[in-house]
Amino acid sequence: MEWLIDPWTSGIMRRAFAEAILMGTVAGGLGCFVLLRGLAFLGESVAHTLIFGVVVAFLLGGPVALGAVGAAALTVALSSVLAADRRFSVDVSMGVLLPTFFGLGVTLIALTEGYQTRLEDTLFGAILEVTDLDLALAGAVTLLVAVTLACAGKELVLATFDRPMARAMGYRLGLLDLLLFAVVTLAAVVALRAVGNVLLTAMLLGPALSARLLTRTFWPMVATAAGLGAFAGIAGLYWSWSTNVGGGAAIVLVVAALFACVAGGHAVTSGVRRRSPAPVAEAGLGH
Amino acid sequence: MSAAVVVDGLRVAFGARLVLEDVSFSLPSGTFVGILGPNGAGKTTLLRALLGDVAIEGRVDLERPIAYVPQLTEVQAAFPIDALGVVLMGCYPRLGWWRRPSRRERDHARALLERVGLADRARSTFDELSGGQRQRVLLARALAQEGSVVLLDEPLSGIDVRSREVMLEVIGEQAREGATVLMTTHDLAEAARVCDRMLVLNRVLVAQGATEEIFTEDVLRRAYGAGALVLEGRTAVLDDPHHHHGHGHGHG
Repeated sequence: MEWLIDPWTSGIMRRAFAEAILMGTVAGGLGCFVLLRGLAFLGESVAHTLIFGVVVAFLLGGPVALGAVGAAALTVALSSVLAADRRFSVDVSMGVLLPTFFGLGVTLIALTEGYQTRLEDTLFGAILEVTDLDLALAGAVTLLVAVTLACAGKELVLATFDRPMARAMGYRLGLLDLLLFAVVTLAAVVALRAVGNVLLTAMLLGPALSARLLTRTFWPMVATAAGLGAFAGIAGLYWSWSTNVGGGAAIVLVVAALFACVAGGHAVTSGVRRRSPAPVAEAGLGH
Repeated sequence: MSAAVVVDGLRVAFGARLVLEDVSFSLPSGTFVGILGPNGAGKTTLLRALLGDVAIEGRVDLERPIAYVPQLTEVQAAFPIDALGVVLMGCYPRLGWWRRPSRRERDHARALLERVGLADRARSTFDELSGGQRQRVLLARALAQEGSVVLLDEPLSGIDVRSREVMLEVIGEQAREGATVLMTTHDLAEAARVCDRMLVLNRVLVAQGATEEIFTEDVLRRAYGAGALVLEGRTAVLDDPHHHHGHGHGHG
């Protein structure tokens, strides 16, 4: 059992575990909205916009995480200005803004000497270098996401399931979209630290995809995805500790392995179901 | 008799495209109104104008709350939600932002599912249901909204006979209980059978009035043009609207 306790003796690893659990929970849970709204593109482009903030923070000598939050806030604010015009949907305006920020970020990187190693951290994460500020940020984002889902969760579901109805009931879809994009962007800031820009989409979509196969309705799906995300965070770090694989990559590979298992199991059981005379789908109603 | 719905000089344009023009009517409480017209006539736009969902010129005044059944194709059928969850959405505006449906709302939602003949499907997910069953779940959700005015967008399109019967029975019941019901439909025969009044649209309001006045070859030809001839051949109802209309009333 020593291998189980061993990593927790290190302060660096304890911090990494905390970050991975918070990040896995938040990204996994919100990933369900990202998946069902077809916003995979959003996760990807949010990751790109954050680079701009990270580079600016580096140039100013401030904390990287705050730079990312600043870039996120600026994007969400600007896209809400654009989306006030009914001809632009929020995701279209995000689609315009995010590559612009990415371009700015890349240009700044090219002009900045000594940034190369930091860039690698941004691309693949640096979960072993998590600071107290990073952890505080991850905790605050987790709390904010929980409050958002508690207050507006059912409205966000309505706006995903049936947009004409949500509009007819007087909900302002633009604002609901913005709220969702804002929390997804914040989750991306947290995930950026843990798994980096390139692997972030896997963190948003992987647990959600597995959970979709394991559950029948939305909130159980969110809980399952959050749990799978947190589990992948823990398991990935154990793997990383024992083999020296990079933390972010290990976590994402656990996510992928979990999905492979769930999808494989699902294919087998649904194959059995199709061949059995009585439809099992009916029997599984009272879950 | 006070009017539940008043529309005066309504005009809707999307950019340069004029969709509705000079539409005026008023409807008393408890009427079941069919909105007819060919594709692109502005039927759905009229509903959206009543919902306050499009920019309009003119006056639109209607009793609230408004219950609404959107076209089935607008709903994300693959979303993981069960029938009970969909019906519960009808009470969201009453609940407010942070409150979740309580036992009372759940019991009520189950009763509404029973009313549309789906008591045993409460825990079925939306994508496990047939098109007709889905449409009935959306109707149960509209009932949960407890609207003084009920708007239905093509509720009879592409659904099975049993669902259609249940839908029309429940909608008719709503009207008899005092709700003002407006339903867009392509089905002239069914509309003639169940509706008290009709609005015939083709960008402008071609005709309006009691079903037996409206359901004449002349009016339909003005609305549908040559299309009316085809419909005429298919639906014997054009020759004898009174018989079918009477049947509609005797039905409930």
